[in-house]
Amino acid sequence: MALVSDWIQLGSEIFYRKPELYSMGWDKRLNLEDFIVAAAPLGGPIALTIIETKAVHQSKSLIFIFSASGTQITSFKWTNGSLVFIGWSRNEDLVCVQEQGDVLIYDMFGNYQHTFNFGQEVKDSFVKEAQIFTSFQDTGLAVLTRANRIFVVNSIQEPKARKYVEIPGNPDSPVLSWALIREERQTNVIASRESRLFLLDYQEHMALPQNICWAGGDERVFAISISSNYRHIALYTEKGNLWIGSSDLSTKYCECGTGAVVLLWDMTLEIISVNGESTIMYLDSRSSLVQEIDSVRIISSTTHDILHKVPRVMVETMGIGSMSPGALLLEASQGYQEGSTRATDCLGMIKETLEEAVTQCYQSAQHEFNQSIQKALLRAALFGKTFVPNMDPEPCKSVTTTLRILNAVRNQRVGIPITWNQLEWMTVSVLLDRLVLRRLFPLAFKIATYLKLPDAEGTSRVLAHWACFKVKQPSQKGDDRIAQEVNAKLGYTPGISYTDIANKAEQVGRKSLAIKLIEYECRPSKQVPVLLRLGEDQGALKKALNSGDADLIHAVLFHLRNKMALADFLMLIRNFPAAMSLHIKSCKESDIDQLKDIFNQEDDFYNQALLKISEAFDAKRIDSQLVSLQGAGELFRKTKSDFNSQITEDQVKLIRAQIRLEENEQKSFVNKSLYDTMLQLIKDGQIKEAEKLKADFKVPDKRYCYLRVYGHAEANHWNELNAFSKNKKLVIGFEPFVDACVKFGSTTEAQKYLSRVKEENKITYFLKCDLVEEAFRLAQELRSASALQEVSSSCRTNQFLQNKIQLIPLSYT
Amino acid sequence: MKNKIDFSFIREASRNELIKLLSSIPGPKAIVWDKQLVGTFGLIGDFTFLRNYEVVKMFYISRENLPSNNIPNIIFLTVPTRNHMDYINNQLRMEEVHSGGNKKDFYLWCVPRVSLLCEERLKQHGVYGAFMSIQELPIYMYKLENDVAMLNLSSCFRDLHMNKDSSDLFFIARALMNIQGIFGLIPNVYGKGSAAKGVFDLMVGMRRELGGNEPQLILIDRAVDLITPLATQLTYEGLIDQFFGINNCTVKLPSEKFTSMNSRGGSDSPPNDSSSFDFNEMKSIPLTSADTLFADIRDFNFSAVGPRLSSEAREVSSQYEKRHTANTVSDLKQFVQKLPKMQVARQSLSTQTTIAELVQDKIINSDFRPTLHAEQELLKGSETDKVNSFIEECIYQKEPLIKVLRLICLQSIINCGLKQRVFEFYKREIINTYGFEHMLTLENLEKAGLFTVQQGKSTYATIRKTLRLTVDDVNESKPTDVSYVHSGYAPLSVRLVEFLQWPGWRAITDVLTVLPGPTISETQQLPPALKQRRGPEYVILTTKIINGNSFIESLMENLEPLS
Repeated sequence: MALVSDWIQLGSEIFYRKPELYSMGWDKRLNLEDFIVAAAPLGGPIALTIIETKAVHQSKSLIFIFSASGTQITSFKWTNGSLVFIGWSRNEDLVCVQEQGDVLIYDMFGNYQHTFNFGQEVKDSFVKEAQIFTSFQDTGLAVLTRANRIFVVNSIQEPKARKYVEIPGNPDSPVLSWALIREERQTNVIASRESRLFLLDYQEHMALPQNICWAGGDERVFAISISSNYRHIALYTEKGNLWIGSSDLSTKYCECGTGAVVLLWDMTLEIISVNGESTIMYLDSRSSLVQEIDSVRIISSTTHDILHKVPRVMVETMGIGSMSPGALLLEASQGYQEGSTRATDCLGMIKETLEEAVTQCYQSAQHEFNQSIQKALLRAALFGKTFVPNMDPEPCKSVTTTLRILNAVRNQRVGIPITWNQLEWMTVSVLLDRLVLRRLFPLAFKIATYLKLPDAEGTSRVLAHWACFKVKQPSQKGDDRIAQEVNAKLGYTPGISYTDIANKAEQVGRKSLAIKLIEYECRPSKQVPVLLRLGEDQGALKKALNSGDADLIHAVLFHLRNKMALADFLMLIRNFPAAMSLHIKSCKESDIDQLKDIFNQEDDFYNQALLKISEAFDAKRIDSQLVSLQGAGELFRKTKSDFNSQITEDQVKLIRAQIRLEENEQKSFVNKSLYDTMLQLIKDGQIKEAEKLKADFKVPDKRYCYLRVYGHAEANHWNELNAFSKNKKLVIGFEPFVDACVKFGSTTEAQKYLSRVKEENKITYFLKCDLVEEAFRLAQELRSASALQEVSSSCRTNQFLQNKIQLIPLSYT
Repeated sequence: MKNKIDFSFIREASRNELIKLLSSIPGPKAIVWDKQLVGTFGLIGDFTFLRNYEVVKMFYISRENLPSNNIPNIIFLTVPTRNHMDYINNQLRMEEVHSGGNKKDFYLWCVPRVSLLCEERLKQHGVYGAFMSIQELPIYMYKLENDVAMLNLSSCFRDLHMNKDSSDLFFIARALMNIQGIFGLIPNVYGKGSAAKGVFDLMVGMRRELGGNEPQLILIDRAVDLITPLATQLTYEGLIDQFFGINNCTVKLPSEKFTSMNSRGGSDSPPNDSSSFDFNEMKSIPLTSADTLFADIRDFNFSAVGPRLSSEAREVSSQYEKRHTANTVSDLKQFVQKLPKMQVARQSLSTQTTIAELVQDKIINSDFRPTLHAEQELLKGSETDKVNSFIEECIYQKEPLIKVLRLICLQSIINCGLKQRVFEFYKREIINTYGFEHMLTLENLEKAGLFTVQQGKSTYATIRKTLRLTVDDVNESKPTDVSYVHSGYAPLSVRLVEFLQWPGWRAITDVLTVLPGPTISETQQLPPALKQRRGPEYVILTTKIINGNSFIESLMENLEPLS
């Protein structure tokens, strides 16, 4: 079958192939030989820089960055000393190491990110080589100095240089080769010097010699290579021997295993399986290799190929002469399209195993790069599936979906040549990040929509990144316009945080844009702190007030209060009545002095007066109480609230009178109300004093009469009461006399006044005096049903009377 | 009738929040309570419930030091107010001193959330760092009945209308958003009053923030209807509340009235009695619809309660009498099976009868009737522009100030403010009788619009007529109109809701314009298929259950005269 013509057999049933990914977009005359080439794994970008020969020791050179398909992304001038190494971090940042151990990090667009160095010792002894590696959680970097010492940082984000133990050997003999091995969280180094191999254990601070038995005596290891997962190692020796084994060097692989080692000499590529079988490929030009988790990419001046082992399922489905169900289904499907009877013949042979056949077809498609072959395989899978009605359609569907995404990102213009396995390993979410990083927002957005990812991890995230990018770009447009554009795209999608975007704008110093953007944030709790940080005090206050969230308002007020002079602060918040009332309320609870200041500043005499009144009641001494009250009275007068002023001044007058009375009577009067004071005086028989108060405070006659009646009654001064009842100035009826007598315990006294009670009240007052019979008689005389009802309801227990009432005819009105 | 919205979820959700926090602290713990919260938390879980989470002691947040104890975890549970932070500071420091070498862990839980001001206060005191953690207990609502819930914001009206502080609206909007989060967007929103508008605006804002069938939401600002809380309620439950005060569905009554019953029944211990709380001579009686008899009569006009209780008594005794007619074994078995139910019924009958007697006593042995009469005259709008002789008389007699204020405020509101002369007369008489310390209380009432000088013509006549606020022929035993609850006065807010159902607010625009505050009538988008006509069922969310007394009290200023 034509599909497999480029397969290379390596032992039985194991094939390798090297399909072309791209015809490189860069100038084909480019000679890679002249450059240091660094390509990021997982289909990342490629960096090129001119190799510095010792002769032409130049500290200025150009660094070019290309996509994996050879499209130039950027180029920039390197001016930071002699460049030793360039490599890519896990986040696709370019890591450049110079001779003195300074490390500079750029993003893929050549924007400088940050820098660190390996310390004085490295600076003094100069970096000879460097290696980048994946550490426990981040990207690590290691350097070998000209003094043959190794230094490692485990994270380029939080760099901390660790010095490794010295590699034993003659000081003049160089370290021949070295590599990093990760074990759990720890990074160790394998290094060869002279004819010995050492494991440098950082934890133990020891160089452990490693003994490997070479067939022909000691060998010097010239090259060490570690597999991506740190499990396998390959050593290449001076005499051309290759040793492949587990990374702890304890097991030498002999037969099993799936990996292989690729050796590159000039233009010859040799693939050696772990079984020791090998095959050779010839390349067209000088090339550079990129190690991936499941393959090796080969970058030459003209093409970009991928070398990988043909997966078993593909071998079965597409291998020459294969009779597996998948192969037969593929055959059948092709026959069907050609209208050939081959279709039925083949189908007939796999009746029982159709499901397996379908699976094999779509699984093969997963690993195929060629789109027409992908289609042929998927078509075969779908063709087969029509005969298996109950088969779960999901896997097949998901393969189709994922392949579309893979094809889209592999496209020459995008240039991310990842394999199915790589995508599974890195996840779609990371892929979206990478697209976003490349500023391919529309593609990322489409993928997110296509996969129906939840907004928060899909479209919203992409849009948010887009917005962050957008606000960082220099633009001729006004800030208003940019903010509007961002809002038009993003709307109010849940999961979009305008706060983040505004923060980005702020970071690049575009404060006014940040203010415009934060305007769109709909969570006041996020929005307000940003506004405060941006110095938008009024805006923050407004938003906080709109939110209705008192705590947020207090936060703003608190911030402003700490930042401004009191006068300015008050001047600001007086424009916001709601803020003002909240501030006043909290002052009431905690800071009366400030409250006074506010009322003073506002010329709010009324509230000042009220405050004085509270003060009067907090006062510990009577004279200070008087002062406060007097103050309150004056303040009330200023507000034209004469009535309040008068009653407040009356209170002052009253207290003065009470003080005088206390001195005279040796009794406590202060803080009794006016009427209680008068009542007390009447009870004490001090009628003159009471009348003086009546005159001083213009107590109404009616009120005074009541006081007299109740005062005498309470003191059981019945004679005085009687005398008072004959007073000509009496302006009240006799009902209060009866009430007062009853209240203070004498119905006998009460009855004295009954006859003078108004007719219409008589029944009620008879009842009050427990003269039920009289009440009944009167009610009967009046022939009033309502009066009878009143009598009846007030003497429920008096059965005799109740019966009498029952007997009364209902003809009463 | 099963409501579409059942507030039971509130209790469950609150319980879960509480459990989450409780179980985050291993080992025995003591809760130091904010006094206001104790009763309310009884609605969530009782002491037994807390004991399951190793709460072994309960104390109060107060000026006093905590009683000596050896409990390793001390939890302060409080609403975030400045005063409480001061007390907590003190109690925590003293506790640290007293515990000697044994280190204790302190926690602060704020309901419903931690406030910045309180954090600042604790920082000022320097105890902010002394807590293992400061956490929020986000309980915004408490379920009172399946169809009634409250937010427990007791100073809401005072803050809104006196301090112009609208913070509480935020919590109301939050609570409504919570309800909508569970039961779906409420498509039709109606409302009256500036606070109602405030809540609605906040809700709209929050909806955008959260990204979010047929029920309606009616928001009513208390300021729209100040009359109703001042009028005396004449339903059974209303009178119990009036005389004895119902808090968190519980009333406290003199226990000697119930002793005989206890020896008989013995099974009605109050729900959240706990070791440290001693209610002295008072007995807590839960009043909820869980008691079927109470559920039946709670909304009866009191005059109809007596007959209902007697018929219930006859029913219960006739049930018991059946034991004489139980001749066969199977009859007897049937009877025995019914016995527990009958005992419950008898127990409940006896409790309710005792309560009804207590209420009756109060009605007879106080000037309840004349007061009611005066109140009803005011509600009819008669002579509200003069000094009311009954009120005058009350002041002369130095009747309780709250009662006097209730009547004066009622008169003031109905008259749209009092004539200057009348206003000054009342004010002076109150100060001269009760003392100058009430000056600020009167100011507060004035700020809140309850006791004011007349501004323009009274609109009460129009409102009364259009909304039929007073009804003459009220059938108290078989009510056909809501006016039975006040024997003649129909609550304004209820009328607003009724008119919204039919014929709609468009018919009463004249009233809506004279009532204070803006009117809301908004439809949130919903597919028409969801709209269907049915008799409305109401569920109620309130900031706090109030009555005239507690309403006035919330506005009073407590100034202690110098002694």
